[in-house]
Amino acid sequence: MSDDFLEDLKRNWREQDAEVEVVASRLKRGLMISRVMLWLENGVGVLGFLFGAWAVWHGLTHDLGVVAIAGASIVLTAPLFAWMAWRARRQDPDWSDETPQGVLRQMIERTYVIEKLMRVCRLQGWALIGLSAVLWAATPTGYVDSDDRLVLITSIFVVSAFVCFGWAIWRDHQARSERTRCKALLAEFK
Amino acid sequence: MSSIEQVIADYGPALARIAGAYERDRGLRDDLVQEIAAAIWKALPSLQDEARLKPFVFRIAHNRAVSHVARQAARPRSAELDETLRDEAPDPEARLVESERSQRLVAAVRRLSLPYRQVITLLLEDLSYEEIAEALGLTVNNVGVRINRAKAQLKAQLLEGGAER
Repeated sequence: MSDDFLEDLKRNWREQDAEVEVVASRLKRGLMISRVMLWLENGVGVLGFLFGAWAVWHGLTHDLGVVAIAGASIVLTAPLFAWMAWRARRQDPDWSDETPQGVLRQMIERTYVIEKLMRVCRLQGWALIGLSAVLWAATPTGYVDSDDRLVLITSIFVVSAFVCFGWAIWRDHQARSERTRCKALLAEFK
Repeated sequence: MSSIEQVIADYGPALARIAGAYERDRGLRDDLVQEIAAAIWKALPSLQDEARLKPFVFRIAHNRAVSHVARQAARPRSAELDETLRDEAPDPEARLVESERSQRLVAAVRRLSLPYRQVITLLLEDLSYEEIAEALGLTVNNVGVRINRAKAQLKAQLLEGGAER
């Protein structure tokens, strides 16, 4: 194999040069969006928790059972989702201190974590359905009024639960495919 | 300590070429470059020795690209059809692959298995054997063996005039 061949390859490889400024500006924009998204994610979590706490207080002080219970569910789920997001980020491979094989092994591990998180997601869905059932079951006691607000809130809960189930099924399927692909790529290194 | 802006200015085009060796679809390739840049941005504070920046950047790029390949394989690729259609009516804006020979080379590189694709792309980016070994966590001897095999496969493919899969 002559060096001329390699020099020729390098020349052809560089011919696909991207415009530095276009690449750089696109990357800068992407990084800015990443920073904003991180802040938004944290901000929405905190706002959700505060709103839920306010709803609980408002519901209790104004004798609005539905509002209090809905607020309590937000107070409980906001930290759970924040924990899930933190956990998912923590499971990101260490890109700077890993070999490609190590990255693939970490990704395989991550697919198992995703499957566990999806089990939490399904539980969340069942919790929402259970909460709706409890709210309707409480209407004969008079603590919860059987009105349009109850219909609206429980409808939102049930729809959210089915969205959870659908997302969990889709993500589970993705995790299994990803694991299969990672194993195949790992085999290429052997 | 280098800033992410400096890294992008110095290595942006190389990162785009590396991404191109893993991803054929232009939109997904742009996404991959963004993901690589974000990973470098997060990892930069952990860089101890500024002199090792080059292998550090390329190690992250390849690791991120490997994960991209694994993830994309699990997703439907309707975008590839769009790219095929675009190829029939070339879009001059920000097109990375310009010449026929360059396209054939990139296509041939994409057909290599991952271990060979990684060493050859780093060699084409002018990294030394030592830097490639550091970036990929290999011994220098192993790098030499893989490069020889990768070059032989590339030569065979280019002589065959293999078109992109």
